[in-house]
Amino acid sequence: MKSVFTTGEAAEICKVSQQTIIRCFDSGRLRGFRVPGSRFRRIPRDALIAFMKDNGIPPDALDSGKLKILVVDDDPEIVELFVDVLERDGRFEVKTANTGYDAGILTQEFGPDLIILDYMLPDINGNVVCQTIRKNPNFEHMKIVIVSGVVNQDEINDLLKSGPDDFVKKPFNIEKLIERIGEMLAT
Amino acid sequence: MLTQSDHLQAKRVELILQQLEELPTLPAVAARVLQVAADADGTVDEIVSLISSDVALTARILQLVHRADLGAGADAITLQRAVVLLGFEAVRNAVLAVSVFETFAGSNSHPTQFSREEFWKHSVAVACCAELLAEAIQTADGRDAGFSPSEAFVCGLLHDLGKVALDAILPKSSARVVEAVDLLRSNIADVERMVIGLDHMVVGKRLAERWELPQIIRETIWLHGQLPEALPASVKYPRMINVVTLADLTVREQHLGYSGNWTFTLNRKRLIEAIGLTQQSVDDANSKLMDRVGSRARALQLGQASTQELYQQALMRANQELGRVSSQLAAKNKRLVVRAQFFDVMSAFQGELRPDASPQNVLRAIGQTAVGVLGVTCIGAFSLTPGQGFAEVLLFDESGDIFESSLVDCPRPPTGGESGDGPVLHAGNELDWLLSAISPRLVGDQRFWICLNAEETCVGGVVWGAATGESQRLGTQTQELSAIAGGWALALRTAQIRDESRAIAEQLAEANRRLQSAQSEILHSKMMTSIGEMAAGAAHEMNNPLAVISGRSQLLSGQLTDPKHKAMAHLIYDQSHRLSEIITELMDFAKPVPPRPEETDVADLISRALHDAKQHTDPADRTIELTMGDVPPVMVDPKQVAAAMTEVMDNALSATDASSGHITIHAAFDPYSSRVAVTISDNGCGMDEGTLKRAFDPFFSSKPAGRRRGLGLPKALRWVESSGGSMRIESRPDQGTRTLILLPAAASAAGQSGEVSRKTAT
Repeated sequence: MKSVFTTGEAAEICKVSQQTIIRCFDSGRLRGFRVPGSRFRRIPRDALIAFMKDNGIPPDALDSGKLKILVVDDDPEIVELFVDVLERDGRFEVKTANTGYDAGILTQEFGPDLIILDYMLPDINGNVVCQTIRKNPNFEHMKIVIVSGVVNQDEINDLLKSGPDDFVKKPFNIEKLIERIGEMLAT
Repeated sequence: MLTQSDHLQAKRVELILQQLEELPTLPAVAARVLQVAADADGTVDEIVSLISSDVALTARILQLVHRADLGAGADAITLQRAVVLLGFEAVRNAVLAVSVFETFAGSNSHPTQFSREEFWKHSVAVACCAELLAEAIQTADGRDAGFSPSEAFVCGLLHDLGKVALDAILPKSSARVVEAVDLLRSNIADVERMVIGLDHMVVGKRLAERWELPQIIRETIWLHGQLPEALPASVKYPRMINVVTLADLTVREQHLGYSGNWTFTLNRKRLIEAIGLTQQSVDDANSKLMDRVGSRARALQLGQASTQELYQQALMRANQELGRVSSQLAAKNKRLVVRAQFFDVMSAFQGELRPDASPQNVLRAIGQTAVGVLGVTCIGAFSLTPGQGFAEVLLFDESGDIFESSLVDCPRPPTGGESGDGPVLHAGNELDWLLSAISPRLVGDQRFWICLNAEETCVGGVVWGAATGESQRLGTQTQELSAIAGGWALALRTAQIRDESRAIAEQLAEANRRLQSAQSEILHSKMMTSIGEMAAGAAHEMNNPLAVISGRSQLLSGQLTDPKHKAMAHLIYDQSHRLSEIITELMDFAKPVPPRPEETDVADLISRALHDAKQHTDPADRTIELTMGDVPPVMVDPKQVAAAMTEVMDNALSATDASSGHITIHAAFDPYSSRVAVTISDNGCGMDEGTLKRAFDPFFSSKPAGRRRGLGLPKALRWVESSGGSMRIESRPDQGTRTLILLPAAASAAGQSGEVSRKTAT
C-alpha cells in the first residue's frame, strides 16, 4: 500500500489540478513535507485522506488501492495480452503506451507502480527509457521489468546494465509473470 | 648522325691528307712543261728549251720517245723533232712519267714488304698494257679514242700513285695493309679504309690535284678498279678508266710486278665490252705486252730485265702464288673438316633437345656431345640454376651413358674467369664443392672444366679429368669449343629459366588453390555470420508472436473446462516455447559464444556431461561403463565441451535399446600429440554411410520424426573445435557408433611429460 504521494499523484487522486494541490500544500491546508535536501513535496497517506475528507472529495480513487501498471510495447497484440492478463487478475490498474516517448509522458502523468517495458521500441529503446526513469529520484520506488524476445546473451547483459528490476524473456509463462509482478510490488 | 669514332676517323684522314703536303713536289721542269703544254699558246720552242734545261730529263725523254717512236731512227731524233713529230701531248706525258717516277723511285728507305721496284714494274706493265689497248682501240675504231696511247701510258703508270704516297707518309700502316691483304686475300682498298681510314685512290687523287695533273689522270687514279656500271655519270673519261682497269687486271693475272694486291675479281668480259674492243684484239694487244714492258722498263731504268727475265720472274711469282694459295686452301680445308665435325656435334646436340626440355634433358645432351667433342672417357656435367644453391650433376661414361646423377650443394657459384684464354679451364678452388663429390670417378691426375656462362653468370659446366696439357691438346679447337660452350650455355639457361617459370607457375597455381579454399572458408564463415545476424533479428521478431501465442494459449487453457481442449491449448503453449528454443539454438550455432578455455579435469567433464544426458534420456536398463586412464587435465572451455559430450551421449542413449543398450566411455592420454582422447561407444543402431557423411551438417537428421532438430552434432563439433580439439565418428548400421573426441592437454601436463623424458635421457 502506498504511504506517501507526490503532488501529481495527490492531484490525480483528488481529481484536481496539480497547481491546486501545490497551492494547498504551500498554504498549509494540505499537510506534508519536502524531501530533505530538495524542494520536492511529499504528502503522507493520512494527510491526504484528511485533506480529501475536509474538502468533501470522494475517496474512491485512493481507496481502490489498485496497483498501477504501465505496459509499453509497440506490438498491439502483446499489449492487449498484457492488459487481458493483468485486468483478469483484478489487482491492477493498467495503462499502455506504444512508444518510448508516450512511455515517458505516462510515467509522469500516471505514476505507475510498475512498468512492463519492451526493449525494441520504434523511437527510443527500452533500456534508454529505463535509464532515464532511474535517473529521476521521483520514480525511485517504481519497478521496471524489461520484456524482450532478444536471445543474444550479450544483448541481455547490456539490457540489465540499464537498471531494470527484472528481465523476462518472450515468450513467457503468464502465471509466472503475474506471480513475479506480485512479488516485486509487495516489497 | 656521326658517332664519336666517325669524328675521330675524319680527323685522322684530314691529318694524313695534310701530310701529302710534305711529299716532294714535281721537279720544276715537269711542272712548267705541264703548264705550257696545257696552254694553247705554248710553242714548241718553249717546251724544247724547258726540257733541255734538264740534261738527264732530256736524255730519258729522248730514250722514251725513241722507243715509242714509230719507225723514226734512233739517232736522227732530236728533242725539237720529237716534239714536232709526236706533238706536245706525247712529250708532256713523257716528261710526266719520268718526273713522277723519279720523285718516288729513290725514296724507298723503309724496310717494308712494299717493294718500290716491284711496284714500278707493276705500274710500267699496266702503263704498257693500257698503251697497247689504246693502240688497239685506235686501230679498231679508226678514229680518235678520246685519248692517245701515250696518255693511256701515263694514266696506267700513275694509276696507283696513291699507294706510293701512302707508303711514303705511313710506311708502317701500309706494310700492315699489305700484310692484311695477303692474309685475308681481300680487296686492298677495303683493308686500307679499315686500317688507315682512307684508300689509295683518294690519297692519289688528292696528290694529283695538288700536283695539278691533267683531269684524265686524276680520274683514272681516283676511279680505276671500278666496274664500268659503277662509274659516276659526271666522269669525263670513263673509257680511259676502264682501259686502265682492264690493264691492271691483265697485269695482275700475268703476275708482272707487285702492287700489294693480286686479288682482282672484276668481270673481264664486261670491261672489254665497255671499252668497245673484242676479246681477240685484247689478246693481240696482250701478246705484245712482255716486249713492250721490257723496253719501257729499261727506258725508265727499272733494272735491266730482259723480256725473258721478266717472263721468268712472272712465272716464278705465279708459281709461288699458286703454292701459297694451295697451302692456304689445304689449311683452310683442314679447319673446315674440324669445323664440320663440330657442326655435326652441335646439330646432334640441338637434335637431342625438345622445345620444352628440362635442365636434366639438356644436361644429358650436353654430356653426350661433350664426351665426343672432348674425347675423354668420363665426364661430369652440371646445371647450376642461379640463386638455387645446389647443382644437379650427371656423370657420363665414354659412350655417353649416365652412370651417376646427384645433387651437390654449391655454397658459392664459380665465376670461371681469368684462368686462360680458351674455354678450357683448369679446375681450381672455385670448383672444390663439385670435385669433392665427383673427383674420384674422373680419370687422369688433373681436372679441367668448361664454364657455361649465360648473362655473365655460371649456369653450369662440363668437368673431366686428364693429364697435364689438356688446354694445349684442345688449343686448336678453341674457337669451336667456345662456340659449342656458348650453345650449351644458352640451351641450359633456357631450360633453367623454363624450369623456374614452371616452378613459379606451379607455386602460383598452388597459391591460387589455397586462396580459393581460404576464400570458400571466408565465404562459409561470412555465410554463418550473416545467418547469425539474420537469426538474431528473426529470433526477436519471431518471439513477439510466439509470446502472443504462448500467452493466449495459456489464457485459453485456463478458460477451457474440457480436459481434452485444455490439453490442446497447453500443447500450443508448449510448441510455441519449443519453437523459441530452436530459434535460440540456431542463433547460438551461427554466432557461437567464444570459448573460455581453462584447465579442466576430464573426469569432471565426463561426469557432468553424463549427468546432463541422463536428464534428457532415462538410461533405464542400459549399461554405462566408464574407464579412465592416467589422464592429465585439458585446456578447454568446460561448459562447451561438456555440452558437446552431452550431445554425443544423448545420441548414444537414443540410439541404443533401453534394455540391451551398452555404452562405454573411455579416456586416455596420448603423450606424442599431447592430447586426451575421450571415446564414447555404443552398440546401438549405428548409421549408414550417407548419414555418417552428413552427421555434422546442421539440420540434417536421418530420422523423419521423433528426433530433435539436427543441430546436436554440428554444435558439438563446433564447441570441441573452438577449444582446440577434434572429433571423429565411426559407425556401422546395426553395429553401433564410436565417437572419438581429442582434447588438448593443458600446458602444465606437457611440461610434466617433458620432465619425464629428460629424466629417462640422463
